[in-house]
Amino acid sequence: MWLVRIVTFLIILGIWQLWAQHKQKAIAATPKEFVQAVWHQLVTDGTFFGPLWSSMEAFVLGVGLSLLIGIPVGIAMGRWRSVEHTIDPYVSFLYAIPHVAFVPIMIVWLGFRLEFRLAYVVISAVFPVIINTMTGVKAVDEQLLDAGKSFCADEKTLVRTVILPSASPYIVAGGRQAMSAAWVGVVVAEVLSTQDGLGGLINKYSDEFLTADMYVPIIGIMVIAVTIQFFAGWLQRKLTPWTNAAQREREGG
Amino acid sequence: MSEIATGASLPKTADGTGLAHRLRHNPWVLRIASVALLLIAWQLFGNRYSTSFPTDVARAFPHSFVHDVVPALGDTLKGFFAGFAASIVIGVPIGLLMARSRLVELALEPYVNALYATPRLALIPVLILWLGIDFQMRFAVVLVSGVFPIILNTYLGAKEVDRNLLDAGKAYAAGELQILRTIVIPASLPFIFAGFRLGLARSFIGIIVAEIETSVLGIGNLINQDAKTLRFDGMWVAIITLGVLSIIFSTFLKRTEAWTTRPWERKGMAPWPFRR
Repeated sequence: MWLVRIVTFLIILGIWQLWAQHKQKAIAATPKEFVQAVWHQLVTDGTFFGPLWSSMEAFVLGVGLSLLIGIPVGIAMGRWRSVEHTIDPYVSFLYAIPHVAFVPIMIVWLGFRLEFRLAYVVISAVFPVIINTMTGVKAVDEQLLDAGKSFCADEKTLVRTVILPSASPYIVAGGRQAMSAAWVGVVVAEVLSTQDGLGGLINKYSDEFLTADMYVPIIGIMVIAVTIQFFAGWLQRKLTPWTNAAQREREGG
Repeated sequence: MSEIATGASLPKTADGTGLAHRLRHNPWVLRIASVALLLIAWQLFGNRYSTSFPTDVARAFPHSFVHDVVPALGDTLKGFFAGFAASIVIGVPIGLLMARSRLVELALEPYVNALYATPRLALIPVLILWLGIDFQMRFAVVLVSGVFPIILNTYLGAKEVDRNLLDAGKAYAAGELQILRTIVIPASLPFIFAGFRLGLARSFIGIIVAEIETSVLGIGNLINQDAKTLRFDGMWVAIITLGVLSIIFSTFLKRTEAWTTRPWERKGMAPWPFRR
């Protein structure tokens, strides 16, 4: 098993080397130059870390805001038909349209800085939270709700003691999707706004034709994405351990 | 009408024929009211937030649609359809191969998984560097965005195929191609379509990002230029067209899926099994 994987890895490295060595340095960098660039950016200069924190800041704040907005909206939409039908045209439209189309107008409104990136991250990440929360709230067992009501529970108690616990697997699954979507949002916002974060770093090196250096934030973004995915999966298993894997997939996890 | 319903389901059996009742329970009443309110608010306050009014957008629509949006969409869709067709032609066979051959699975699975999970839009600056800003680059962006969801979903779907069916096929001495054609592909079609849908959405985003980034051609560029020059009415025309178009595409795919998979309709399988 590992033999196959190592051989594939070596084949890919070999192709990369052969392909890159006869090209101009501005177009392609060899694996060796890439490793040097990694060493340079991560260890000797440390230029990688400023943009990294900037991206992580947008990511963490964006996910937090999405949960903060998405969960209450999702609960309200799941609880009351009137709220659902008032909001669902926008949710479906914004969910269906490639929301990068809003980037130019958001830049005009919000500028190039954190506000813009945050707004774009929230637009990318909030809909999975809303839709999952709403589905979860609608799936709450009627009998539990009736039992709660017959013991005169008010809406607040009902939400806290029946709806939230019962919908939590869906909400957690939504949060997991939101984390993946938010990271994509961070990267897109940065690549397009050309200033901050790892995406901005790609643009900077790309403009200077420092190709080997440009690979570093790209690979960094990929590594972080995989890490986020693993972390979110782990968190989901920790938070809702009673749902099994198949159920998590079905709930869109 | 005034019959006394029994049991706990009393509120639900309320009579649903009265006009007032029907209005109250028709979701479209609220939907339309909500959109109308938004449009009115936009018309009243639009000026303050440097955007145009719904009436302006409506007035700009015919001219802007014919002269700006349609040519721009033409450029976008050329790259889009070519890239998406290539994603299908490349993605489905690789996914099937990964599911059927252990060697290919071991070799490719880590890369497919990793690339599937990562924002491949980060690759756009590199693709621009390698391929320029023309058709080739759009094609590559769509391919890179669309092919991995298709590979992964095909692979996962083909892996899920009922072992008993495969064994039955083998017991009757079916060849590999015959097994693929008559068992594996039909059984994994819902997954393959889920991959198409995901790939479609991702490719659309990819091509628009690429167009905003390069600012040469296409609908993404049109939206970007209009926003930069504060021609908001034209921009909204483009955005609305884009929204309608993506709804048409996804409906088309959903219909095709229903039509293709109906013969094997399986109960209990979620229609969107691998949305991540």
